[in-house]
Amino acid sequence: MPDNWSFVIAAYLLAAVVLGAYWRHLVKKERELEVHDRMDRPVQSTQSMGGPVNQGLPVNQSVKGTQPRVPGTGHLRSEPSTRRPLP
Amino acid sequence: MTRTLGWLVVLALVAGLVMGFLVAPRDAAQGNVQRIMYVHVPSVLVAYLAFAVVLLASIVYLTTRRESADRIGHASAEVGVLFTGITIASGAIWGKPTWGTWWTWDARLTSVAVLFVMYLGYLLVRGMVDDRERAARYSAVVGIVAALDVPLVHFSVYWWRTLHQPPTMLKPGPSTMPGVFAATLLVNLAALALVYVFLVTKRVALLRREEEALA
Repeated sequence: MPDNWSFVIAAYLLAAVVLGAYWRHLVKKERELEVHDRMDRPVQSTQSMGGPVNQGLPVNQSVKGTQPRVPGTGHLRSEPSTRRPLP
Repeated sequence: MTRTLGWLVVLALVAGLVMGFLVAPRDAAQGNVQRIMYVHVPSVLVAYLAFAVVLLASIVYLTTRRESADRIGHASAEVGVLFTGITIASGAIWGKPTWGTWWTWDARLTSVAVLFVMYLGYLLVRGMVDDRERAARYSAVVGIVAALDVPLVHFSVYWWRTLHQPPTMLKPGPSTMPGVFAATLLVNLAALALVYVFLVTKRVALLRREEEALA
C-alpha cells in the first residue's frame, strides 16, 4: 500500500483551514462589536445639552455613584405627592 | 476563563498531532492514509455532540422561551456544521486512495450529506426570518426534526449494506482496535471536543453582545 502522504496532509490542512477560518470570522465579529461599542458610547454620554447624563443612576446620586447628593444642593424634583396645583 | 480554555485547546491539539503522527504506527493494511481517521472519526463524534446540544437547546427554548437556550442552539449548530463538513471532506480524501473514489451514494455517506444540509437549513431559517422570536421558534423546530437523522447516520451501516465500515467507536462490546490506535483516537476526540466547547463558548458570548448592540 503506498503511503499517500499528500492525502493525509490535505485532510489535516483542510480541517485546520476550516476551523481557522471560523475562528477568524469570530475574531472579526468581536472587533466589529468593539468598534460599535466605542462609537455608541460617546453618543450616549452627550445625550443632553448640559453634559454627560447621569449614567442611569437615580437623580439624587452623583455620577460617580459613591456619594448621594445632599438634598437642596442639586436640582431635585419634588415627589408627585408633595406637588400642589397652581392657584 | 476563555484564555485558559484556549491554551488547553492548543495543548490538546498538539498532543493529538503528536499521537497521530509520531506515536501511532503506520497501519499494516491501509498505510499512512489511515492517519486521516484521527481527524475523521473524532469530527463526526463531535458533530453528533453538537447536534445533541442543538436538540436539547431547542426543546428547552420551545418549553421555556429562554433566549440563552436559543443562543446555545444557534452556536452549537454552526460549529456542528463545521465538523460535519470536515467529516465529509476528510472521508472523501481518505476514500480516494482507499476505495478508489471520492464519493459514493452509500447509506452512510448519503445520510451524513442529508445531515449537513439539514443543519445548513437550520442556519438558513435563522437568517431568513427577520423577527428574532419567530426565527428562534422555527429553527428550534428544525433543530428537533434534524436530530432524527443522527441515529439514522450512526445505524445506517447496520441497517443497510454499505461500503462504509461499521463504527469503530460508539459500538456495543469491547474495542477490537489495538490500544495505541484507540488511545490516539481518544486524545484527538478530546482535543476536538475542547475545540467545540471553546468555539461554542465564544460564539454564545458574541451572540449575546450582538443582541445587546441591536437592542
